[in-house]
Order: sequence, then structure tokens, then C-alpha cells
Amino acid sequence: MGEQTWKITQRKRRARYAAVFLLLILALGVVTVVSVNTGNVRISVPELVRAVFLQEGRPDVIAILWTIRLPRILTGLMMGGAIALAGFLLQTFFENPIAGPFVLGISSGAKMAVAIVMILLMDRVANLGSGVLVVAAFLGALAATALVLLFSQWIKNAAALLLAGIMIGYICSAVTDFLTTFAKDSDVVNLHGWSMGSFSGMSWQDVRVSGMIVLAASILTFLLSKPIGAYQLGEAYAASMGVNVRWFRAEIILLSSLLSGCVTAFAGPISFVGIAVPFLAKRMLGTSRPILVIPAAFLTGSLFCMVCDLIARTAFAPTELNISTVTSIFGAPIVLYIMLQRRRMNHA
Amino acid sequence: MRRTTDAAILFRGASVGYGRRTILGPLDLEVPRGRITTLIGPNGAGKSTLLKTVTRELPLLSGDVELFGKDLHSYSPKELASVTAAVLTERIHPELLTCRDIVAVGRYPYTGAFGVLTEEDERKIDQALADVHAEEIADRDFTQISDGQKQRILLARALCQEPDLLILDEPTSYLDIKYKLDLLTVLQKMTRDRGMTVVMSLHEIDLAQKVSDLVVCVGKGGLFKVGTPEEVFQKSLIQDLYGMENGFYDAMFGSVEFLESDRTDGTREVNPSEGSGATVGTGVSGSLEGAGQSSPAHRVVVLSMGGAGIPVYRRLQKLGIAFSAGLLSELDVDYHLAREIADSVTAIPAFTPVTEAQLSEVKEAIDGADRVIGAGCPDDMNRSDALKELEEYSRRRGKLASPEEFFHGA
Repeated sequence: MGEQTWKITQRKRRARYAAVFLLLILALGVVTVVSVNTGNVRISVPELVRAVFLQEGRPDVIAILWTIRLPRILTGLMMGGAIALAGFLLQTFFENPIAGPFVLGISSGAKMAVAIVMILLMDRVANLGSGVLVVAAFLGALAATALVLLFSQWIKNAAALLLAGIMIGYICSAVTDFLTTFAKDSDVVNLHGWSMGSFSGMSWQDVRVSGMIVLAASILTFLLSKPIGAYQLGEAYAASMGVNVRWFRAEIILLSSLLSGCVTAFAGPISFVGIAVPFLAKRMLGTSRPILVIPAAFLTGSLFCMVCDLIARTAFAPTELNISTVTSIFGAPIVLYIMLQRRRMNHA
Repeated sequence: MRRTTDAAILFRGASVGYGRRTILGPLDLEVPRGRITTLIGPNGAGKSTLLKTVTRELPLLSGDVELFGKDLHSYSPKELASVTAAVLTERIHPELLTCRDIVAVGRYPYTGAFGVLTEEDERKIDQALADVHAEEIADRDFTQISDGQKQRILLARALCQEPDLLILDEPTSYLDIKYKLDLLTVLQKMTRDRGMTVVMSLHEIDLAQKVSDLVVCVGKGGLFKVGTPEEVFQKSLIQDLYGMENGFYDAMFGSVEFLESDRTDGTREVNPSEGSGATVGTGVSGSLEGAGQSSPAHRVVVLSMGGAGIPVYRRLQKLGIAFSAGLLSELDVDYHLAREIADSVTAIPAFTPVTEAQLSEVKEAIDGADRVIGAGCPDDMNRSDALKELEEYSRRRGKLASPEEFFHGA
């Protein structure tokens, strides 16, 4: 009897998972179409289809689609997924649902590293490729994570650890501000535009590089779903089941730094997506099993960021909002909700 | 696998501890296969440290440990995980996972790269849930169940790992008595039916005495003694092990008894002059208050047999009232406790008839007492002639009270 009950439950669950993934993919399709079709220049649907799939039609339409809208959409898709996975990895690592690259100061660390490279090296090296910025952002993210880890040795309290992360973020921002104060105007303009956070201005070369990094890191993350599942029961249990905890923790830190560094290098710091999206994905699925949450969080992150980007560029067109502004408006209340809910649970 | 010994775990000159600090050892210990071995001892003496060394959460500081005839450190993590499983003291807080999900994680060493469960795995999960009688909560969220249920699920998770050696660190903490018994019963079943070796630490020494095949005492200052429960559960050893000053462990009853701190020196002789002027036990409950503060007056005699006296002794002890226990055979369970907590006992040596001298000794005590509590005997026994005589003797002097009359006022 018991066996049958769980088989029925299992069937229901699988139907739910299938529905969630189907809906996410459907919604992504819709948002992609709407994004391609939305902008200052109105383009009719037949023209659009021809321009996208056949690269035929008016040269200006092709140019707008292929140099502005499509790279931007793809960037949103990848960066959204990447930042969601970075958040999920950090939450697993710190066993805390409100950990994320932004609140732990990791994005700020990456930003500081990029600022240093931009200001100090821009003059000396003629053409700074996106690769250099990614490496700088990755190292910055890694350094900030190392600092957070260092503090986590002494601070066992999760809330205090987040506070330490926020402080690290402030310190990195202060260093960045200090550098911009004494930098040349042209560099500052560059840096400022970038640090506002945006999915625009990506060349196809950038899209290719970031796409490769995000794809590789996401696949590696997905490959870790089994040990992540064991780690959800805590470090000691994971070790007792044969997880090489030391190696596993290193993998998580490297992957989350790579993902958040990559996002910061190409799009600037994006706030709260890393916390809000994994939470939403888990709630939709009704489970936190990593093998399901990892792909769902990626898709939800893509959807979330693409919608936010659409809002950022259309809400006050022709003026564009910075992407972090929009993600904060939607993401921060969710984070607040998670915190309140946890508080309630602890008191229950 | 090379088997040089029949022991499940063999410690040879092993030292365990945190970092570079040795907490316990060097020690030699042979944990038998297919049996329950229990570690007892005070907090901080090194029970958990010893267990964590076996699970390799902590490195061995020196010496050798062999697991099923193979050096512990030659196991790969995966190999070790398929031989040992653990129930740890860490409390886990997973979100949005059902009990079944938690148990399923136990299949970790056996599943493929993505941890996808086969029909075979699902059957083993069912079996593990059935073993701990948790089928009905399988689909509930782990955070929504009681502590007792959580512990059962964590045990099922460990069983799902199909270990030869099951390690449990204080598995019965936080559990009420029913769940404690349930859990230990499952462990006994695992050793008997599946030949699993169980090693655990327990705080409940009474349960340890009953459930263990081998007991390892781990005390402060390097105290380390291994033996069968019969060898280990002796009053003085347990008292030393835990450094108990206000009580002692009664190995026969398997119970912990209190000692009043001013009576721990072992002097239990009656000094009649001490009793004068005390107003203890006059039958009015109000007058009992504060009796604990005055010097324990020897003014109450308890007459009983066959165990009827035990609740009365404990009650008097709680109130701090000194008493003497009436004519008891040395074979009587009442005598067993009375000799520990009564101020004086008049006893009949085993297998000898009652003598006049013994009777008059009790009568003398009754004469000097304010009150006599007639606790009688259990319903399924007949009063001995001696008890009848002493009860009659007290009644004629107007001193006899039933326990109810004495404790609640007539």
C-alpha cells in the first residue's frame, strides 16, 4: 500500500516538474519574441522574421537586430542564468538561502578588479580584450570570496556573515570610488557606464566569449548536482557518504566566482537575482533537489533578467534604466520575504 | 579483502583528538562484528572524537585503526561510505525535501554520476523506511516532522547506505522514552537479522546496560575501560566514570539514585540522640515542609516487603526525611534499595528464619519513632508473619499510617 502511495506522489511530482520546465521554456520564447520586437525603431513582424532567419531586408533593420537587439537578448539570457547559478552555489556553500554574489560583496570585488584594470592598464595596453576583463573580474570575485571565507572561520552566525559580506562590498566600492576620483575623465565615463549594469553594448565576440564561459560553468555546476544533494544534509553527512568535501568546496567556490565574475565583467553587478531566483525556482518545483533546481534556476534567471531588461529599456524610453535598478525592485522584496519567513520558522 | 581479524574495528595504540590535541589514547580496542558496542562517559571525554575518527571526519593522531581487517586510511571515500554509515549529532535543516528524499540520499555511494535512482534503489529506500516504521511520513516535508521522527528518518538514511558498520553519535538525545526504545529496538534487529555492527555513544546508561553487547567507558583524564555490561556496570566504576557525587548508579535496577550530599561519606549509623525534638512525620503534611533543612531526624520507620517500600523510600528521600527500613530479607528488592538510601535497615540474612532479636530491634525503632509507614506488600504476595506482627505492634501504639495517610495527612 505504502509503495503505491509514493508512486502516485512521484507521478504527480513528475507532472509538476514537467509543467514548470515547459512553462519556463514557453515564457522564455514569448519574452524573446517580445524583446526582439520592442524598441525605438518599430519593425513589422514579417520584416523581423526575414531579418533574423534569412538576414534579408532593409540594412538598417538587419543592423538594429543583429548588432543591438539579438546580442542584448542573448546576453540577458546567459547572464541571468549565470547569476542565478552563482547564487545557488553560494547558498549551498554557506547553507544559507540569502547568500548571493551581490550581498556577499563578491560582485563588488569583481567590479573593483575590473576598475583597477581599466584605469591602470587602459593607457598602456592599446586594445584591452574582454578576456582580460573577465580574468580580472574572476580574480576579484575570488579574492572577495576568499575574504568572506576567512571571516566565516570566526563568524558562524549566518546573518553576521552576510553583514561581513556587505562590509567587504563597501570596502571594494570605496576602493573603486577612490580610483575613479583620480582617474582620467574618459576612463571614468567608460567605467561608470559599465558599473551601472547593462546588457547592452555587447559585441558578438563578447557574446561568444561569455557564452562559452557561462555554458561551461553551468554544465560543470549541473554535473555537481549529486554531491550538492548530499551537501544539503550538511558537510559531515556529505563526507560520510563519500563526498570529498575539501575538493567539492573548492569546486563550488571556483564555479561561483567564475560565474559571478563573468557576469560582472560583461554586464556589471546585478543585484538580488542570485538570491531571489533560486528561491523562486525551488518554490515552483516544490523541491530543492539540485538536479531539478539547477536547470530550473538557470531558466528562471534568464527569464527574470530578460523581463527586467525589457522593462529597463522600455519603461522610460528613450531613457534606459540600469538593469540593477529593475532587478532590485523585483528581487529585493523577495529577499525580504525569505528573511521574514526564515525568522518565523526559527521562532516556530 | 584481507581479513586479519574478526573484529569490525581494531584500534592499536590509537590516539584521537582535535587538531594536535590528543583527547583520548593511546588505546587498544576491539569492536566485535555483528554486535552493539556502546560508548558511555561524561561530555567532553572523547566519545564523539573516537566516533569521528572512525568516520574519518577527524584524522587519527597516532597508532593504527583497522576496519574489517583493512587499514582505515586505505579506504577510498566511496569505499568507506559503502562500508560505514552514520547518524550524527548535527541537526540538519534542508528545505523543501521530503523524508523520502532525505532517505534516498543514502543511496549516494551506489548511484551513478547524477544520482538517478533505479527501481532497485527505490526498493531499498522502501525497505529502510519500513525498517524504522516511517512509511506513513515518507512524503512529508522533513522540517514538518517531530524530533523523534527526524531521528528515525536519519537512521533510515544511514540504513539505506547498506553499511556493515553503523555509527551513531548520541542517537537518542532529544527523544522521548518511546522513541528511544523504538530506535534501539531497530538497532538490535539490525545486528541480529543482518549482522550489522553498531557502534554508538549513549547518554542513557540504563539503556546502554540493556542494549549493549560491549560497553566502552570513556572518562575524563584518560579513564578507559572496556567490558561486557555485567563487568562495566558496577556502582563504583560508573560513579568514577561520571564523577558522580550526588548519586550513584544502581546496576541491579539499572537506575540512577540520588544521594544527599551530606550523607555521601557512607555513615548510615543511627544516632538516637539526634532524633530528639524533631517534628518530622507527624502525619500533617504541613509539618513536612522544611524538613530537608533540619538535620535528618530518624523518626520514621517503613515496614514493607517485596518492593512495596521502594516508592515510599524515594518519596521520603525527596522530602529529605531520614528513615529506617523495617525487617527485610536480604533477598528482598526493598532491601536492595533500602541499604543504599535508608539510614538504617534491619535485615534478615538470606535463607535464614527471622529471629526474635531482629524483631525486637525493629520494635525498638518503632518505639523511638513518631510514625510508622506501613507500605505493605504487592498485591500478588502474602504478608509475612513478621510483617504482620510489626504492623500490629505499630497499630497498637497508634503510630501506623498508610503511605497516603502519611504523605497527604490523614
